[in-house]
Amino acid sequence: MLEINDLHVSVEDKQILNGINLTVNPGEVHAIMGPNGSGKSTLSNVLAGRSGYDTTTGRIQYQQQDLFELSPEERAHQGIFLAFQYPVEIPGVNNIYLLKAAVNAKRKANDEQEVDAYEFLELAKDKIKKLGIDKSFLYRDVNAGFSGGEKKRNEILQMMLLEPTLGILDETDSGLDIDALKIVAGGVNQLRNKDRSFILITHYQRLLDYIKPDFVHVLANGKIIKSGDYSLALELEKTGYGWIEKMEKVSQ
Amino acid sequence: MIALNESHYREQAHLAQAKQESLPWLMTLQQEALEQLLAQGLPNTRVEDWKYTNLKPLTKKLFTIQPASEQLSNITLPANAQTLVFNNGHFQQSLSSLENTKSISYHVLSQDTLDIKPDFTHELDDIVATLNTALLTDGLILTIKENSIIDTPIHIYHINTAEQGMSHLNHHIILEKNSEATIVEHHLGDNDNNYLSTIITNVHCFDNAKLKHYKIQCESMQAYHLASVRSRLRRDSQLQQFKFDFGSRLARTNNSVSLEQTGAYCQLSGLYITRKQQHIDNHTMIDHQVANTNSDEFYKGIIDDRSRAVFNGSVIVRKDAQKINACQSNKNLLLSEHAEIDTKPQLEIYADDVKCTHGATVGQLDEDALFFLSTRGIDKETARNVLTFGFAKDILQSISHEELRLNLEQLILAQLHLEHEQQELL
Amino acid sequence: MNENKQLDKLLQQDYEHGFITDIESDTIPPGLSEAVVREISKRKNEPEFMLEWRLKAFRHWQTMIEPKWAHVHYPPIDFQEISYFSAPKNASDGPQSLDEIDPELLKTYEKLGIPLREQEMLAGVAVDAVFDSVSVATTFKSKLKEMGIIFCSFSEALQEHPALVQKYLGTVVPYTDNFYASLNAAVFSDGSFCYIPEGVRCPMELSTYFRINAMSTGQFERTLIIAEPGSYVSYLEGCTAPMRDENQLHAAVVELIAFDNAQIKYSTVQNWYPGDKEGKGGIYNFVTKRGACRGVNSKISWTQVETGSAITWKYPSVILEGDNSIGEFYSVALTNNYQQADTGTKMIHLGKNTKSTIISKGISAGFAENAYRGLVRIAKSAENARNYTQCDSLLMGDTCGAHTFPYIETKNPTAQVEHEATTSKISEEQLFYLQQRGIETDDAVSMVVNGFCKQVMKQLPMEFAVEAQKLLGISLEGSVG
Repeated sequence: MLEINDLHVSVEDKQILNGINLTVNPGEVHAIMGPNGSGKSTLSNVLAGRSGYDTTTGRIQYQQQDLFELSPEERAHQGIFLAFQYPVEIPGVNNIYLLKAAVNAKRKANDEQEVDAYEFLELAKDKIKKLGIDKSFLYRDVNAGFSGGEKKRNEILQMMLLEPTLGILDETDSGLDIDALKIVAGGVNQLRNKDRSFILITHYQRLLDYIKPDFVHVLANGKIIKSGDYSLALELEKTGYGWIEKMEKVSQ
Repeated sequence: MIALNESHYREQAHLAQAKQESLPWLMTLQQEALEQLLAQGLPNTRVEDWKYTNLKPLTKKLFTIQPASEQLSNITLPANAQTLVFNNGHFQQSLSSLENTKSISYHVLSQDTLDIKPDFTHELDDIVATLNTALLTDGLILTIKENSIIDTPIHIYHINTAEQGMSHLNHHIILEKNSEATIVEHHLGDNDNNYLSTIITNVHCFDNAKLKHYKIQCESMQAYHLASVRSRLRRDSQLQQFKFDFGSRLARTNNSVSLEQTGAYCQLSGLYITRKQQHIDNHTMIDHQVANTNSDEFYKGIIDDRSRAVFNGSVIVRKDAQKINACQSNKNLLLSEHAEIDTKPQLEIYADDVKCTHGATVGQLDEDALFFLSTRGIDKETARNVLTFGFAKDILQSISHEELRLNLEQLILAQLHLEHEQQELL
Repeated sequence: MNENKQLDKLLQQDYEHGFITDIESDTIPPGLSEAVVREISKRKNEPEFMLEWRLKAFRHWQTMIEPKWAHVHYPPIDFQEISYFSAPKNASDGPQSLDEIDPELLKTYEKLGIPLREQEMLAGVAVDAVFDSVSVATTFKSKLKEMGIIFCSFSEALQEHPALVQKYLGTVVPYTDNFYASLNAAVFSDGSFCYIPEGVRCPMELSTYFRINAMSTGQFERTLIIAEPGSYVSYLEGCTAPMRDENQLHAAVVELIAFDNAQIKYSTVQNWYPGDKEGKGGIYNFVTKRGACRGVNSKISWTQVETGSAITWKYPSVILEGDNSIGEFYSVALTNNYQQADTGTKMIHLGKNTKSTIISKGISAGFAENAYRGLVRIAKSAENARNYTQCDSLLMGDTCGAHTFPYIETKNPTAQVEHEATTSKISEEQLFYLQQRGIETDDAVSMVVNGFCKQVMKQLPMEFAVEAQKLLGISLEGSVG
């Protein structure tokens, strides 16, 4: 589904990613872990198509297409969903309005019938119930005045409504209490199936107790330096990231 | 326009020019300024920039240029300080303690040792400058040399002692590359003398220079004070300016800062406390000419009795001057039913990647705070004083020089007639 | 002094000669003189007081000079080049079919979902003017009449209710007020008149149902609305679709009067032709709008969404005379391409406990210039006056400008005045967030801009708000690449 080859990315002439290789097949869940500043968020932003990132070399294939050919909204239409690390506040724009516009934009792009307001409301009510969110959530301005946890839950709500093919969660677990974390994990687990893949970007192993990944990768200094299964995450939890930093020093 | 008494001003300008005989270029400029002044006259209130300030009273009296007086009564200059003293618009060498060193050099126009020609190109741009130039009595060129860090503040005293006198000064303060200094301009007058004082201060901060510039206006309550401060900031230089208005019957300051090169930053703080029939007008303009320049401006006013205060603050962001942060605020306490405040904060933005905010408020002391204090057994009068002083004192927060801050606190207390309560308040 | 004397003399001469020539054509030839003013009044068969008033205005106008202080630039207007009176437009004057209309304009109509017949009307295509809406209008008119509400054209009011017009005309915007208001007073062609009797609450939004036939109001329109004690009226002006109009200058005057406990809500969606992408053509919209809260507890609200015109220059204001009266100003001004807007309000607090609220949202894109200019004046008499002002500007692109010029004058120590303003770029983060959710760039821009304007939009009556929202999106299409 997704194939990243030798990806080098710089931001304002500073090299951030130094040759990432990663293959994600349908139905797989990949966790990418690493210390702060290792390039985790850069990777998710590049996948979603944010401007300001220069790809110096390398390529990304998504469903047999060159990902760089697609605008951010086209990527979204084709099923890429990014749950933002810091969801932005959009004052004056109603949450349910955004949700409906997003769902219909995707449907329209895929030649599907758009949902009307009534249908959509039913759909949304069903999802928020599953996520244990209050109904008032739908009528507030997008993320405006939301607590950190509420913003993250709103991201998951959007993900559940948009039913992505590839879900990318950028440190969605950061700053969440255990109850909120369970809700987030529950959302992902409900969506998990043989055609749908996830990339979980996280600093902590804790999230992986609730969403069991198929693969774990360690990102440091813009490179995947180690890959393995769930046990790698447990190892990281025990040893911390110190050994990686040591290794970096040695290699320098 | 408001016409001026031509023969009187010609005569006075002639006197002023005679002093600059050794500087023929200056004499020519003065003559030009005089003709322009007489042709234009002073602006009336129909001119947008002078909408709230009427200069007519200035023409009611014929002020004359006076010599420096033999001794300065009533005013004690601080001992152990670096000082430059101007009396009635003339430099007083005998009272000045600042010396030329490797780090600091100064010249005055009235001394024939002047070997540099200061930049007078903008002197006919606005009416205050034109008036000042036509009648110029003296001026200072003070240079802080490259890489010099001057820890002790340099005090420049302007003292007016002559009834119906007038003084017109034009200063240049130059901070060369990587230099740092604190410069304090004092404006003082004798008792209730009626006089006219105009002053232009040109500030040049070169690359990476840091200037703390204080201007403390304590002219006589009957004085007319017209000032222009023009600051030009080069790459990565910083200007912290503190402006205080306590004295004058009528005072107007045109205060402009040009952020000319990347990385330049200015912070303007101001406080005006007006009483009786005072009229205090502050016009500020911060001009972001290039990208990556920032500014903060914070002016406060306390307006009492029959006084009137005017604040006009404009922030300009030029085309292509991207990545700008500019923040401006003007807060006023209106304390009397006969007082008036006119405030006009304005933004002119021609670039898009900017964050500019401004705010202005006019209000009274917080009723809740007053109530709170009363529940703690503090009487009404004291409570009001505490809150008023608190409102004013806020502006002193970023003054790191302790002695200066304490002196300013005393001045604020005096202006608010709270000297006797200082123990409790400080 | 000398100049004035000469002028007086000139005026006197005109007066002596009077007007002799009788022009037969529908349109008075271009040019402005006392004779033209007399002719306008005569053709409209106006009462004597009206002519006198027009003449006084004209004489005063001649002593005035065109103001230059606004932050707008345009070539000088030759007032002798303008024709000051046209009979209703003749079928042969306008374009004959929609084929002759700027296709961009037609696209906009389509996006707004305007029926074909209405499109023709808006674009000025000559059509036989028999519409369903006319009969609808008539039905409502009779209902209004039963309640004692007068709602008619200004010309009709002069014929049917001259005493009312004479009593209130020019009492809020005197003919000496400003250059364009004086010009309007001298030569105004028509406009609307509205009178709500004591205690009556007008049951419908006025002018919605009159949209079609109230359109050809001409270049110098004049509106007068009087709300007697305890009455309420909501008035809608303009229409949301851009109107093609060949006139360069629109100098309208609106006067509102609210007595004790009365309330007037005046909403405008202005979308005159803004000129093409290169800034050619378009309307100069120089308007004087002012309301007087004469009575205690009275309230006047202005809501405007300004997206059209090449130049907009207007300051809907409220004079708060009655104690406890309230003035409100909610404004969205959007400028794109080479449009210029200098708009804002004046809140003049005279009465005790008077309150005013100003919410202004400016959006600037392309090469446009957008300025907020406002005055809050608290007079000595205005005990406990309150004002809150918020003006925000949004910039899109590095070739446009956004400016804020607030004037605050306070003479009463019990007043509380608060002004806040911000200027910033449209947030790339917000746009990216929406794009990541699959929303196209233009829609994302429209969504963010509508969010930015929400405080103002929600003041508009529902059906108006929906169209105004679409309009914001359409006006900004393609402005973020």
